[in-house]
Amino acid sequence: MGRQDEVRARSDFSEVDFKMKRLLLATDGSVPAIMATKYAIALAKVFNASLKIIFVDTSEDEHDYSRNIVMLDTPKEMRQSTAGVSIAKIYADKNKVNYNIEVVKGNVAKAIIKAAANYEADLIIIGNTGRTGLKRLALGSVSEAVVKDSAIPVLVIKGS
Amino acid sequence: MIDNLYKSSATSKAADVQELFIDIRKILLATDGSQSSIMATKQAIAWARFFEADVRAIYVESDYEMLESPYMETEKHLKGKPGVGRCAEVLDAVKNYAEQNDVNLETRVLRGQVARTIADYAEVYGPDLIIIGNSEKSGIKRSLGSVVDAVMKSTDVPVLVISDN
Repeated sequence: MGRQDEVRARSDFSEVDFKMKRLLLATDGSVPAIMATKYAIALAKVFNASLKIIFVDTSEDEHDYSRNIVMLDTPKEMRQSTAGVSIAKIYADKNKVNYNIEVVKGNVAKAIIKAAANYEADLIIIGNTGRTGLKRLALGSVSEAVVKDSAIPVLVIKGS
Repeated sequence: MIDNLYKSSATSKAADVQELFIDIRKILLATDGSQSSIMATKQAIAWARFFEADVRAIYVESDYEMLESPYMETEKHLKGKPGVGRCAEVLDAVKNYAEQNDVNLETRVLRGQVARTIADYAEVYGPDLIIIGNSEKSGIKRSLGSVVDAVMKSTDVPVLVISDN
């Protein structure tokens, strides 16, 4: 290897820009999401970073009556979503982490990636929640979709 | 990796909520010399420096028989990009980089189906964090699932994925 190649090989691994000042947590209140919440808050604390907590509301617009009826029939889903954000808020307060909460709408993975880009997040933290059964077979999980399309590093936490 | 796990999310009360602490002592870095795994290496060294953690860098040489791999990872290796014969070169570069940054890093070359081998090695090494690059984007490979997806499915360890998107 010539001198030039050596220099080039070294510059491939140039100094690391380890900036962890803005973390984004996506939570839906599921068990993996709550695990991810704890990691996110612990990391925000240790990095002295700000935390954006988002919940993606996947409900359709208000004129979709059939969807509204379904939602009335499944209040548990609603409770879980709200719980996810509330739990994150409680932990963030207790651990004195600087945070803000946002509810965004749309396709879950796309909304997470968009929110992270808008926030200029250095890291996305998510639980490997998501679709189950046939839907998962066809579409993959939310975390897989985020990992596939995100330019920002993604930390995926399993709920066990 | 994380202390003070609380038991029931449904009955969580403010009084039950404890302070959270995180400590990362061991990081497992899976590398194959690709662009995304160079980025993953940088992240691994940065995290290791921050947490004063040890890093174990592994390079999985895929089995050559197509039947061994449901992820067509072998095809990539058969074509010689980026895999075959490069493991020593790649791991040396990683090792040098760690030394430059005063990070304690050891390397291992493993053989087998990539995702399963990474997950199995995680069982042995017991890392607090797995860091892996992701460069799979679309096409047939995507529909069969990527190595990263397979790793995430086969381990309970948190996985940090670095993409070259």
